[in-house]
Amino acid sequence: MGRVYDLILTGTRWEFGPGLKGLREVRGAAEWRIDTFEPVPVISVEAAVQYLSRLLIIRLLQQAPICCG
Amino acid sequence: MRQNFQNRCRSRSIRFKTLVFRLVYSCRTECGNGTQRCFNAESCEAGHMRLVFEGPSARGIRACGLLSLLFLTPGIAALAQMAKPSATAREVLEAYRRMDLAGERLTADGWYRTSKFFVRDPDRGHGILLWKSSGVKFLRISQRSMATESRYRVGVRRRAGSILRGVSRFLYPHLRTPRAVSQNSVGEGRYAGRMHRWAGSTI
Repeated sequence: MGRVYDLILTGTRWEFGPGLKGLREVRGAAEWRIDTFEPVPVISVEAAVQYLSRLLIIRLLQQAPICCG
Repeated sequence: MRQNFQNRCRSRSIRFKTLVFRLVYSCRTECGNGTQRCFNAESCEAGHMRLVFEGPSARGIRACGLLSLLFLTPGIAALAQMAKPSATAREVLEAYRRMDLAGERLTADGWYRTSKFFVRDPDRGHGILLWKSSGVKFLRISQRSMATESRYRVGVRRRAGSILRGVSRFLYPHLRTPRAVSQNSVGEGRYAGRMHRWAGSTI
């Protein structure tokens, strides 16, 4: 199982505008950038466990009854 | 024959040097025949013509500056284009792989951070691929250059993979919506809603 990445040496990149609103094309210094976008994040087992544990904790906290003295 | 050629070359070289010199320095030809000052070679006695230099001229210096700008500007622009990037293609890909493996793209903020590695407008994801190998193995590297831009192709090997959707459904069947996970960051930005939908469809 493998994947081939195409990288391009280009000065064009995409950047979010102020307040993380709107994606715009920005020109700057030439850097290597990945041409083919990978839509599926590939994560390690450790990261997956952390992610699911975080989800679980938050869900449990949400479902916990509000305690009042 | 050879002597003639050498003489011609020498005289051309001298003529060129004289031209450059005359461009920078203000000079004139005059007849050096005692007090007689004539500027016509025919009316001057043979052997009396001479160049008289009057020091650097501002006009000549300006002309030289303009000429050098004219010739050097394309070169400087080409040099700027050829400036080496701060990281190699392999280093860039490794940095991206490390961030992705650590689960950066599971949150909206991480999604923004990883977007700098890409040329194009990133689209939303469709799921999460769980990578059992934490290392990054390279299959093959082939480099090809195009007329306008350089390209680099890197193959990455994955030892084994499975879709987190299946794993999480089995382990955590009661987890349906991950809205709370990224509630600090989701809700702003272009991919906020997409991120939520994407993550919701994954778990």
